[in-house]
Amino acid sequence: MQLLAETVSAVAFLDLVAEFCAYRGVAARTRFTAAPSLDEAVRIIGVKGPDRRWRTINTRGAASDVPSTSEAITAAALERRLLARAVTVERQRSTPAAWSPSPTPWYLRPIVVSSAHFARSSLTIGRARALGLGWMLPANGEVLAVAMPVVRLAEGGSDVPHDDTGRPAVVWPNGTADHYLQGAWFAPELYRHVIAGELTLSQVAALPDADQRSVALTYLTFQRLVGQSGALLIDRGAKGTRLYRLRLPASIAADRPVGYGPFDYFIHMNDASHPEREFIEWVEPAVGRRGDAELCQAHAFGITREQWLAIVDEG
Amino acid sequence: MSRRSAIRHGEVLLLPVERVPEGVREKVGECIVGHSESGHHHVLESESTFAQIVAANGDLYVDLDTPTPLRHRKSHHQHRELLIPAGAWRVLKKTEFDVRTLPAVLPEPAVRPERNRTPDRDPELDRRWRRSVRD
Repeated sequence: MQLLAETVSAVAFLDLVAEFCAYRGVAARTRFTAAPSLDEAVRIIGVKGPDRRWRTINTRGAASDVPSTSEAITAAALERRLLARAVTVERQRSTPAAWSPSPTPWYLRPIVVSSAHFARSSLTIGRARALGLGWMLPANGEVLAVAMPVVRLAEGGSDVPHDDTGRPAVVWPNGTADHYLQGAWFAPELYRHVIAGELTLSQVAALPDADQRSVALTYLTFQRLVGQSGALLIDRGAKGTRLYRLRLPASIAADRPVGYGPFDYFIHMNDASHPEREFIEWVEPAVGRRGDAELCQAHAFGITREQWLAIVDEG
Repeated sequence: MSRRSAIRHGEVLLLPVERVPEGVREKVGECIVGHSESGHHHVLESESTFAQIVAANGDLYVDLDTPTPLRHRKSHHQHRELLIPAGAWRVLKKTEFDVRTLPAVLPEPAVRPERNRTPDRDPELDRRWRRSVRD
């Protein structure tokens, strides 16, 4: 796991945001505020309404603020993911009964608020971003600058907030925090149940969000999968790997891609050094359907079945 | 030289190769062959130096002059220490399937989904659909 940032300079970038707004002709009659979190900034702009001058923010600018070379922008996808989450929270808060998916308002789209977007075309925002700026929300009479939170990322995923050790994956400057598993947001109580392996398959199937269902399914324990969910043993390999097939509840099957089929597959194995320890790993259905537990192991390592079976030295 | 076979250390696998490809070559005394988010790395540790090679496609290789210990830096439930014979090895890390990385519509399967023990696979294509296994 890696931390995206240890600390952020909460207000160090405000002068730079003001400078950027001056370059773009949207600084007059505007104050600049560091918002404590993205959720709070989205709530405020929902109350105050947007600064309509920002509708054309991408057509404004000054030649002196344009970078001479374009540098790679990191964490842009993470920014979009956190922004989408904040917009969803505000929608559910403001219209919980009649909520239905609708287009994101123009003033909350990444091309209007994202520092990653503007860093490509503005030296000033590039510098502000280096100081920790994440987003600028153009409320009426007030630009709300939001620092990037401290983020714990999944190993190998530069844009996937994740922590399954009980710690929040995202911590905002005001101390509020969010739990994520493989990029999917979870409410604190649900998060604790998921990582403790306490949910049943039917409880996973009843979760309202498709990403939550997919992630929570992978945290079901072997005992839950076999004892209560009806997973079926379909092969026991020469090296002891067991392959199981799990018929998916309708709500989870509906989340799967077209052509996926009604089953998930997983293998169950013991630790070579500590046989009392057991693991399960999920298997690509195209491989699981072949009904060969050891082939699943070979596939996971990217080697042939023969190479896998030839392994003698294991630890 | 005796015939070498692959060696597994938890989620890390060392595959013997005849020669290593061109790449960024570095002489090291230790090499993390399995990175762990919790710091429980799998490490080749030698009292002398050996070659660590990162190929152009990012694959990791090591070329050992002498038998070298492979250790798991963990205080409990660690994988037992293995002695890796001299020679060139490709380092592979186990990955787990992640359903959310699949495209919305899957291609028609090339073969009927019956029991088929002949692996006909494209590792490069498969790699996109999987994620690193948690340690």
